[in-house]
Amino acid sequence: MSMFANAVACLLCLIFAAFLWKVKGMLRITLMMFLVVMTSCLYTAFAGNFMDPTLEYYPFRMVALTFCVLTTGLRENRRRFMVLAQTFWLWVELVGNVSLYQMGEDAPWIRLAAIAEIALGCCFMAKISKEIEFGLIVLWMAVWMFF
Amino acid sequence: MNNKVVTIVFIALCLLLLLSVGGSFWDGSFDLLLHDNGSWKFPKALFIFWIGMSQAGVLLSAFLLIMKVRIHRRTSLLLELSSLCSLVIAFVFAMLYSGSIKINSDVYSIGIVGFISLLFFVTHLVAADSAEDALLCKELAKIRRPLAWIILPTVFWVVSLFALDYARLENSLWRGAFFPIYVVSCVFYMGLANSITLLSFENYYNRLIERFLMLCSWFMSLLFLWLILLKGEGSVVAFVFACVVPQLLLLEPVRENLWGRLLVVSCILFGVMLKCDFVVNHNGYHFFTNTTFASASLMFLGGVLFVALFFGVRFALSRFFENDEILMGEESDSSDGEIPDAEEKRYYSPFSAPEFKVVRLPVLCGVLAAVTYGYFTADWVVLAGPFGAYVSGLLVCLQPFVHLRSSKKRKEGGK
Repeated sequence: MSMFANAVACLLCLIFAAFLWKVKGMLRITLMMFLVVMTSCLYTAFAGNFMDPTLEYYPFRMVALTFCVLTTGLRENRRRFMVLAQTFWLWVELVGNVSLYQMGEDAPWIRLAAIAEIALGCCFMAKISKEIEFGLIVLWMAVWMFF
Repeated sequence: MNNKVVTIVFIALCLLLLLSVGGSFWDGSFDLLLHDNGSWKFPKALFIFWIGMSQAGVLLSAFLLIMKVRIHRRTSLLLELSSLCSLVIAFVFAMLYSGSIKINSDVYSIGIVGFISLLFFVTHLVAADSAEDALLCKELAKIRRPLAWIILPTVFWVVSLFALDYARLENSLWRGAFFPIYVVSCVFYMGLANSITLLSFENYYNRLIERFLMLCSWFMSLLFLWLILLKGEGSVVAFVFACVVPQLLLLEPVRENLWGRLLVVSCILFGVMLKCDFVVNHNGYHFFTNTTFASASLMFLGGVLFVALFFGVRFALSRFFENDEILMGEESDSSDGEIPDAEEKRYYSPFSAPEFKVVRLPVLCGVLAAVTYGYFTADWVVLAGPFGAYVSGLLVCLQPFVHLRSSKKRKEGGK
């Protein structure tokens, strides 16, 4: 996927998270998540080329990034869910990388390491201020765009 | 437990099994049942189905516990027990049809998850029986969530690797990053469907789980469409059974009727079984075009064995399942009869939560054990993780007994 399409995907994730912040209740959030997954799949289908094996898990990476950004807006158990969301992202990336490796393709291991480091860092955060929230979102976007 | 429904279902399954075995004489497929030459692929599809079921219950139970979704303790116990029984059925199939079902290190890792699930179930069971020893019950209740923290990533890891290895060794069509995600989603979906079935046998109806099942069926539909976009094919019949039929739950007469609910969740499980058949045979209509009475016999045999084993154990452990201290019936979506956790809303600074204190030393030992195991063996990718989880789980389960013993010694010293 091109750099521009990748950037648009990142922007879409932020928009999804902004919508999800406003929704209350687990079931409504799940319903919104359904729409998020659907939009991510449609976007990947239109913006990408299916011959590229990295696109197989692209929508799920988008969902994982949305989850991560979403957790910054939580009021309770923020650290726990932040780490859980990043673990989900880590799992999607790990599974993707292993499958790419098995197919003999180049796997972005640096991205995996970067997410693992941020997740580990989040475990140490005592109080997450607005500035740290912003910093985390920027870090995730940087991982998405540059690794 | 609704004995009437259980008896009707069991007798119906037995009759269907007898009919299909009789039919296998008629269509000449009886030989397939007795002589396994490795060419008959249906046992493998069933084996994959039961392996999925063996992960589904414990995955859902651990997930709900970690996410702090309040469900009735009985629901969790039923899910955990169903996981263990399904693993036994998968093992029986693997023993009966060793020609078509190849055992590799992935299956060993599933065995390890089975053992940790057994620990999870037993601690949960004993913790429910507080009439015996209140102190032990309290100590065991403390290790439930830490155990769930160990089980959840292990199940994700094991199922993902199972899917990746299947794609690598058996069918290259499934190679790619999407297949493991799809398999884990299917396992989760099976867990939800299974919980509704088991609760129906208990005369319960959990609206929260039913709504999640509906939402999950939409997610599964999306994943199915994504699969078609990626691979160019998918089992339409499986999609109809697993994703379209559940929409009937939107209708109140179906939703409120016990047999209606049972029929819908049976369709979901059948649909997932068809998906397994599609994964193995690479043909969406393979089950219907090539089915023989022998295939039906094997399918019903699994069902009969599961019902007999599950309800046999359930009946033997009624005392634990129907503990007086547990609220009977569901009051609302948010009430489940679990012992309220007053500490839940308290803020803990990093690495100071009680769960972390329970889990830190066992996990450290588990990681060391995994590294040591990986150093000495060649198949470290598959088994090192589950082996580490096995050591961690075992050490977490030993903690309550160590605590009890030390507090007893302290008391004796005080006297």
